[in-house]
Amino acid sequence: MTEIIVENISKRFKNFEALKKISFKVSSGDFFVILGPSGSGKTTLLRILSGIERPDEGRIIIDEEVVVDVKKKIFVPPQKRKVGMVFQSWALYPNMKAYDNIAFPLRVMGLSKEEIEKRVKEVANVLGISDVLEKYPSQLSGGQQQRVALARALVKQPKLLLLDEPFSNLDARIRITAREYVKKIQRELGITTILVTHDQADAFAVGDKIMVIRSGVIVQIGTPQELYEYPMDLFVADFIGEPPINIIKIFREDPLVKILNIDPKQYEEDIIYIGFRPGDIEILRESEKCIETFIEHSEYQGVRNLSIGNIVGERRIKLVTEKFLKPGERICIKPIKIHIFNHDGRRIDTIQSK
Amino acid sequence: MRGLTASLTIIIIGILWAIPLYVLIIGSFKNISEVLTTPIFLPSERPDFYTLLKTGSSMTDPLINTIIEVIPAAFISTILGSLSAYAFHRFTSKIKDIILIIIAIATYIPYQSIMVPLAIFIRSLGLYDTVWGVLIAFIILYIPIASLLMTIFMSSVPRDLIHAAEVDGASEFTIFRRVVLPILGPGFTSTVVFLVIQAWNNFFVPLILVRGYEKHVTLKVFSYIGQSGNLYNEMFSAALIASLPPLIIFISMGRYFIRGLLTLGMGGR
Amino acid sequence: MRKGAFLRLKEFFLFISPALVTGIVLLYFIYWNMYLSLTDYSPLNPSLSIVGFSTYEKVFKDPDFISSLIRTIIWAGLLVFSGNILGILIASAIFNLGGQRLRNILTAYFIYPLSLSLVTSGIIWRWLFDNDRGINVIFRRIGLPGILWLDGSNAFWSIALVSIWVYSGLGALFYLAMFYNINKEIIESAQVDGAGALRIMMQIVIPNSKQAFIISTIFYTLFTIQMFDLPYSILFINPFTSTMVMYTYIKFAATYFAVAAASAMSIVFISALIVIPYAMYGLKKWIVRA
Repeated sequence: MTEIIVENISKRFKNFEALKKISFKVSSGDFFVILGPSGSGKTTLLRILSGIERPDEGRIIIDEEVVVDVKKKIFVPPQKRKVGMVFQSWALYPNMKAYDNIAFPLRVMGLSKEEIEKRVKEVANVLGISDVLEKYPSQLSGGQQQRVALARALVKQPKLLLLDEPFSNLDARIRITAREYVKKIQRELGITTILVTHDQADAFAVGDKIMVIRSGVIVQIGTPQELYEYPMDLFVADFIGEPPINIIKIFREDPLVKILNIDPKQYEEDIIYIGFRPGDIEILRESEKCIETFIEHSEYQGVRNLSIGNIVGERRIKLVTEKFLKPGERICIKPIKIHIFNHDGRRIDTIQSK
Repeated sequence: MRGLTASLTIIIIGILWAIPLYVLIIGSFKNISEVLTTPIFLPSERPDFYTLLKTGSSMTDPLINTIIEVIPAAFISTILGSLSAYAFHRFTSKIKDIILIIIAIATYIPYQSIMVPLAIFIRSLGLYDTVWGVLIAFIILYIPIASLLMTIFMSSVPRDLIHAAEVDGASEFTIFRRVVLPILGPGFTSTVVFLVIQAWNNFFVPLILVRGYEKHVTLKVFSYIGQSGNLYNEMFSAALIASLPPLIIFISMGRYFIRGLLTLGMGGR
Repeated sequence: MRKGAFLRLKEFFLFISPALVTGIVLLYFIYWNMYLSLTDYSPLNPSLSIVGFSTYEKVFKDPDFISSLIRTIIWAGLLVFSGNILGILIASAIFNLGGQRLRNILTAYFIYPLSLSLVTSGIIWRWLFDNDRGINVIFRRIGLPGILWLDGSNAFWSIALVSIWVYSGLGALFYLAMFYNINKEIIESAQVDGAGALRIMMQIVIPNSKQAFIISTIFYTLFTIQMFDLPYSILFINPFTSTMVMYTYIKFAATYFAVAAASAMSIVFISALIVIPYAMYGLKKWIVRA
């Protein structure tokens, strides 16, 4: 039962503050995803968790053991943390066969040859790489290399599994299968896992909980559904969801105020932002209170068709509809669920129509 | 933990490594009686500059000769070597590969193995026992090495820059002079430094191309060995004076040369 | 367009002419050498008429030549073995220290012997090996018997030791270049896997440095084949330290040009054996990477 507690972790590189007093908890057995754009500090956070990097401030507790406490000058080196890590480049040892790569941590631990063989074969079986154990990393495909790296991390039965953008080097098609088996294995083994990525699709595919991080600061932590349905601010709303959410800036005198019955005055603001997902719309008859939309561009994709439309005020929105809308068409839409964000970008209200 | 073992290893080996240089320096300052009585490790009670001055003054001629032979040889070789390196960088063809192999082989063959033809050649030019003879010999020996070294450094010059100059209408030579050479600065300097040190310390070439021991620095230093007998302060002074130029060059530039070599090893990162 | 292509070809050859010419001159010297070795030129018979391989026969029957050949080979083995070990040791120690600047300075430091002429090194070590005033003084002070460094066949091992001091720094440089080339994440991964610094060096870093081993070995071998200045400065001409170059020089100085040439051709042949396959392979790699 490995619970992770991170308290006030900060890290500076020369004049650049990578992490600013980050605090969060990971429950035992959770698949926890740290999601953020490049430069957000997510990889630094992972490296600090593994012990490769040392924080300037704060402390971390893994399974009730303090692995780093800057104030008390406690630091447990990576060798002693019982953590398994899969690097973005997979970092397989090029001079060793796959078998020896996976066996390496066990040999360091000093296990017997028989025990090592047993464990390596076991984990190779689970990951479906038993037939490539005698090959060198250079002879393996990207997907196989990744699984060997994963096997190496898992074979020592770590308390915590860390994954650094494990899918970014894989082809699109293999990515989906890779996400599947990583999720499956994590669930079967019940290892507390922290994955770092910039790809929100990866995060949603595997995460039990997602933590959105930006410029070294936590923006929001929640389940995928919470993040999608109730984003805390514009950044999260925009970062999550494909295609991205429609964000429209509304002034006090905006024509949309009357149509939607949403007024910045109601929230004591001069301007507000409204957000609605491209798929969260109804197509109505022109007579009812709805937004006139002129379809400029559309892509046929079958069940979910994407279109770009122009609305009042020279603004463009994205639409996802079951019915295919042709360019040149004029329709009238009404968003079903609208998030309201204040001038700072924080979500202050959500209006849902029946 | 690992830093400790590493530091200890470096310190121990490092101290042992310095002993020869230490001995050379303190030995140069000893007077005759100390030389005959004390071991070479003990520094002098009263440092004596007399020996240094005496050897120094008799070394001025060979020093001047050597400077005339070494510096131009190093520069000429590097410039001409850069020219060919530039040509290789610009044009790719099968002929180029063959020529490159010829030059590579020429570099690796130990130059001592061609001592007989080299000596005969220089003598036939009437340049035996002259500064020019040694200079020409150095140039012949070092242009291939300079070409290879500059070829490696040339890889850091972006091809697009050259193409841009080409489109601007510059001739090959102008491109070489105004675009490539400035960028190549560090590589050029490294190669010249390398060749200067090689040529300055070269003993064998002057040995077979010059008569007697008085006309070239390495030969002069060598002459002290038999001459001074047990007076090692004379030998050491001579050796120290002869070693100062390459040592000083090495200490001041060596670090950059090393950094350059190491980044090359990292694929030019 | 055609004219442009022709002009460029002309300039190409102009630019490479110095390198090409000197390269060809050197190759011509080798050819010249070969010709000489097929004559019988000696102070008693200064003629350049070809006599076939009889000079080679003479040379290979000469015990001095054979001993210098064997000695050179043993010396190469010694230098390759010790130089690589010492080079790896120094490189590993430097690699595990912090600070790039410090590491660069240390690397340059261990190469400093190469900035001295071999004659200078010879002079220094001649005296370090002196029985009364050299290293033996320290040995005796701590109770060990003095070693007769330059006595008889000991001289060979002592001078080989000096060559190790001279050239190991270069090997360290080659190994360090390779160490830096290794993906940092691989070393970090080994740390997370629980490996300490020693294991990381021995099982991951060093095994992935085969290229450094090859380059160091080639250089060490070439340096040994060229070995002359060092033994000549320490013991002049001495039956126990005579190398192939020394043998060639002795014959050359006595104007036994044919014999000298034959000996020199043997040197060329041995170097070519070692160098040509690796030069063609290694050089291509360097330049392809460029």
